[in-house]
Amino acid sequence: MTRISRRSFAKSAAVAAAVGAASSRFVMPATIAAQNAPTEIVFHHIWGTPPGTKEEHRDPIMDVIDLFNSNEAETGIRVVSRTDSGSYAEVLQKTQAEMATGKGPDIVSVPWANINWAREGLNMRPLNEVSDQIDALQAGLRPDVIPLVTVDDQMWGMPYAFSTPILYLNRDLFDEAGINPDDVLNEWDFLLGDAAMALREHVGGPLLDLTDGQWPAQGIAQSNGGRVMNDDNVFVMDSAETIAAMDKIAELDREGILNRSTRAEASASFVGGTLPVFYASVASLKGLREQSQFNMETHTFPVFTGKPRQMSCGGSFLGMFSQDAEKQQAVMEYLKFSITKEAYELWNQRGYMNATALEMPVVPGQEPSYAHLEEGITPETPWPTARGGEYGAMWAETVARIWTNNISAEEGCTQIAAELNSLVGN
Amino acid sequence: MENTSASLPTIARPRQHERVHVAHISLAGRIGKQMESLAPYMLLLPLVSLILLFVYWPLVYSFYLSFFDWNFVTANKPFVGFDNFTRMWNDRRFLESLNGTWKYFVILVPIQVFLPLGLALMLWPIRKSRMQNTYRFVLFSPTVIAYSVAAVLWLWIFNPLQGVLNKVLIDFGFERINWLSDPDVAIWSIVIVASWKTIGFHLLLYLAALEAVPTDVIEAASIDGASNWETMKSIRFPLITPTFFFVLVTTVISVNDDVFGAINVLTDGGPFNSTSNIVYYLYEQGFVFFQIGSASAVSVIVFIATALLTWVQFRFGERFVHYG
Repeated sequence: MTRISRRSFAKSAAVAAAVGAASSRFVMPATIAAQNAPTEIVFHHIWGTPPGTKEEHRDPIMDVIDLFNSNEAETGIRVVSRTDSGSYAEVLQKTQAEMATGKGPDIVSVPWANINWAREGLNMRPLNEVSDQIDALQAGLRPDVIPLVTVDDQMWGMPYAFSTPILYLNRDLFDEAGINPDDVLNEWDFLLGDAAMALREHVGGPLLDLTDGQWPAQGIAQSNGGRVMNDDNVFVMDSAETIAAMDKIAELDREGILNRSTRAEASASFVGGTLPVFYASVASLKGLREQSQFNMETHTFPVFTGKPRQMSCGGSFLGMFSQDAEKQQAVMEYLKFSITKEAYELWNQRGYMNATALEMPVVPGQEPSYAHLEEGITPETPWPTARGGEYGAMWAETVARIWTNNISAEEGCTQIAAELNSLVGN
Repeated sequence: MENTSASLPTIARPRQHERVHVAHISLAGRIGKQMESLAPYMLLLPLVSLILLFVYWPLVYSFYLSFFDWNFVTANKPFVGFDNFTRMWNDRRFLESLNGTWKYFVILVPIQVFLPLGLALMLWPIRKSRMQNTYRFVLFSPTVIAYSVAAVLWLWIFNPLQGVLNKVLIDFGFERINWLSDPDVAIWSIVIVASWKTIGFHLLLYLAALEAVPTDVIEAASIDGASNWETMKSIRFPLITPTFFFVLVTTVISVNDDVFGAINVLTDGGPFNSTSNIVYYLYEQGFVFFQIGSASAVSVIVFIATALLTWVQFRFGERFVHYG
């Protein structure tokens, strides 16, 4: 065994001290480098590009992020893109799990209907916290989209994936039957008219799909002068106007005009060419066009005779989840960048509506969504309290029951309004 | 040495250094024995630690969380007592999911336990034929297909407008059926898919059990003039009862878990919660509505109910099992 004498110990200690001192020369620059390291912000969203995807199918959001990161040396900020799921609910679920571990993302795509859950349940921060930049951000947006994310006078996110439901139609089926789509789809009553019946005869099945219709149900109720929830967070779907609007759709079901299936089946039926009309977000335009083998067109939602249309928005806004002031500044830098001309031109290819003050080309097929926007679009119902998602699901179930004549419109609307108002303590 | 030993009449007491040596040996021996007795526990320790960490700790923590209205994130974590447990009994969706749970239990347990047994008994006589392998392959392959892939297949089969099932029905003059969107039919569609996915695995278990029945017993019975039915009733079936009991217990425990995949991918619990069950309700509470306290309360109920059912089966069912 090697014996350690006092002398050898002293020698070793001296050598170690010398090596330590020498190595500190190399440590110092590393420390400085760490100080100069970019501020990294994690952007958690649903638009990731699956591995192995062809370059032409790469999601535009990735180009926006790459473009921002290409200026990393100047901005000192790096955005890390994260997509764990294509479902908004799952993205929020992951966000919740990460926040629980104290390592939450900095920016998250939050569905409009979940705004209250994100505020109350996930500690989403108002953009006003970065007060020196809020004006610059707002200046880059369309003025009419800012109220959509404003709660209690604070701006809770940046409208970005901005959409509205529209109708997609198989023009070939209409042409084969010799029918002009406007004669069927301009008004709800037209769907019970002669042209609609002739088209139904031609296709031998239902004409229109409104499955999972909670989203368009809001617009349909509003277009008849009704509401789902008023500005005081009171559920008012038991109004005569909302009941009448819901009953009109139920009537379509009674006449065999409305398709009954799951959402996935309806999508397959439309793409497969057997269902003439299908509702979806305007953001589905690119995907549906790529999948369908027929001449696909888009159309505005029908109106109630003599009444203005008023649809709701949909999609998601970008919420700020950073709790740290430095990262919040970085988030604002990215948000401001993402609505600059060069970045938004890339994003605009995704098919959402233009939420900015910039002039952007309208993608052919997007016209109905802009018509909805010009007519005055409302926020999607911000289901109140942290249990909001559950309330939204209860309303969605009632809509489905009414539209399939499982329950009358009056009974369904009255019951659900009473139940929801009781749950939120109205 | 010889002289020394000769001079000593007996080995009365060891000298000092020898005593120390003996003591060392006995200490080492004792430690060795103790180590030997501890060895199994040491070997089990890593696995037990993992089970404690990933099975029992979440169980205990779920029980704890069920008394709070908390979502892991918010700073305030209000204690709500039994509110999460009492609240669900006023929730229509929970009651509907209980109804679904019961329906799946009543419909699927017999299907998943007896149908593969019947199939196994039919395939057993042709065990030397190539056809048995073909049948085994056909019946077992759905088990290894992922639900997400299987769902795409079934979505096309069930599609009301262009699905193969409705095409056939219409060709034979029947009405179109909304397989997944009619509340009276949808649960049967889920039953079909869940059974299709599970039967193959149980079939293999039964075939393996039949294979293990000693042939000499069967031969002795046939020499004594036992008919096929008598051999089945009195020899084969009693000897495969351990497998039958295993299939029964695991099916009762997991039947509502097994249908989760089909519900999630095909119907999302709809239409009008008609295909939901307690496992799907739990998932919705925790991962769609983010109500961790409520989801934990449901998980506690599921745990207690499952433990109770398993106890009942062992208490009353095991007496019919012949362990050879």
